[in-house]
Amino acid sequence: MNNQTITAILFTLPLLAVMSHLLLARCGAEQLRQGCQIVYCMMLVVLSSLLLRDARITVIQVANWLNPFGISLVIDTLAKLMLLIFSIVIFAITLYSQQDRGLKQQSMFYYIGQWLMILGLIGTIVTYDIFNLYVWSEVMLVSAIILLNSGEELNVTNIYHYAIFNIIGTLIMLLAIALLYGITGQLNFAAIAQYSATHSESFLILPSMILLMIGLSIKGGIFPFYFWLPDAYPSTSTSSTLLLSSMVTKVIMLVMLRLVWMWTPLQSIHVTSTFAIIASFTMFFGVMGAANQYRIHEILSFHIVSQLGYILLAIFIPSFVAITATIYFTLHNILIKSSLLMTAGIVKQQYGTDDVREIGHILKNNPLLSSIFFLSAMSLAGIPPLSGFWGKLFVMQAAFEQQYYFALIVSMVVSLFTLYSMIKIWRHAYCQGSKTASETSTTQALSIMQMLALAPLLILPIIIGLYPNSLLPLIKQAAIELQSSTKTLSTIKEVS
Amino acid sequence: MIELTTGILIAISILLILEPNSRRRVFGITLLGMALNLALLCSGRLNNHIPAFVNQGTATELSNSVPQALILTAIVIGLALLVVLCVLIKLKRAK
Repeated sequence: MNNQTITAILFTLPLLAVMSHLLLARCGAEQLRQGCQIVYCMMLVVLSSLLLRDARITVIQVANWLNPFGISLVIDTLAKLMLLIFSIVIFAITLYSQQDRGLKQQSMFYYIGQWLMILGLIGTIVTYDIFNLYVWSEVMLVSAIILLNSGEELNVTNIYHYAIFNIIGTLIMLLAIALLYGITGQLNFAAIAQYSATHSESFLILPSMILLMIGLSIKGGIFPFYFWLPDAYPSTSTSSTLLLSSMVTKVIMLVMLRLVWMWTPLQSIHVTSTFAIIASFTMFFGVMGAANQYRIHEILSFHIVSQLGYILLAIFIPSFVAITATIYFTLHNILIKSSLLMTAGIVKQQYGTDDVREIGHILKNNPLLSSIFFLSAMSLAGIPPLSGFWGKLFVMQAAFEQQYYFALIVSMVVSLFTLYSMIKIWRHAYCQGSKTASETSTTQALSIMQMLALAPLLILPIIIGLYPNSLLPLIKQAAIELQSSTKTLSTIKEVS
Repeated sequence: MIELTTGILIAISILLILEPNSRRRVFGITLLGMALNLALLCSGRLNNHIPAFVNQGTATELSNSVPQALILTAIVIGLALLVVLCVLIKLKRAK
């Protein structure tokens, strides 16, 4: 089965899953529904790993409409790698959500939101068309709003602000798309790149591209547009937070990576230095916001913003090392953030609250959970030999080689503050007790489902941390393909 | 002329989005969406000189169909977002 068939199945799988959830919930077959959920997630993992068999870049023209009237879907190594990691994380989250009591019972919001988000995710990763990008990110936005409604306590103000901010970002993207289409007459990424390379006299191309980057930044949680993120993400159930934090913002960063390396006006020194400063501010303000919080979910949501700053910095550094740094850091961050949020969710479920001042002695009661948290937290902070160390080292090495000294110093300072946040959680919640927590509390051990859910999210970072060369050949191939984007254009068939 | 109208509508909608009243904010976002549909019209060079389709006979020139498809998609997505926002306002008021 070739990649075209696999992509077709990948696009229909989420819709099939939504339909089966709705039908089976109507029939009342709960066990069958949960079983189907796991089967669909396993199919997602299998299909994503089958995509990796073919090493060539696959270009699909939707409904066989040729360019410039049709939409191109391109499955290169970056897309395959991202789909594999996302499907593994989705599988882990599905196992976790079976035991998540924070989800509203008998509520279909979570399942429908999850599968529609996966559909938007697959679309955003493989698309090569700016308007199609807008459509798939809209699918992700609406499904994110559905997911945010799936918690036990509904905080409508946060969801409302999330919706307003993201819709404004989407509309800015749409304006940029309208401008780019008006100037170039093309919608394809590679065709716009060719146009901007041959017509260097059209001075409006760069502002339109920057406007598109701004729209993507609003949706991606970059300074100064990130304020919707730390309010909305902790206010829902942990399973929804897991899905949102590992999918939405990271995939938008990947789209920005693709666009920056394809469109040469975006690689000019003015743009890259400005975005390096923006990335430094994102890192700094994210971690400063986390220093003020005492609830684990809110600390971790601020750290999402801070880690996005690292990724943004590596995107806008014009070197090969920087591309490998971006991809490695994104992969490591998806896995580690998910495992941290899962441990936070387990803590909240067992202790009733995730305020670190009110819980304590987790190390004594549940050493397995504590060691899982410790490994993930130290990986986030960047302690060797875990995966976070390599991620931050690659980013800082790329920044140093291209002389981005301000961003380098900020990233080092931010690493220190990240370590401070992790130590704060570790000390208050895990080591010490608090006045309200008793010495010996009756907490149950981790259930099998939770251990199965945490297993891939821990084993993979440990493997890529102790042996980064296991992943680097694939990442380097993805980076080479990103740098030589004109090769992709020649494989896209055109209307003569 | 349409371009000027689009610009003025975008300015009005930004003023509306900055209002503290949530209904006015949603109105501003919807108006911004509609103004951007007009922007897609302008950028696709659609005007009333070239027909979009002909009923009978042949025409020497037909207007570009891609921006028409883009505008249609954007209208539908804008409508869906309007519905989502109205539901959120209703939930907010019910609290």
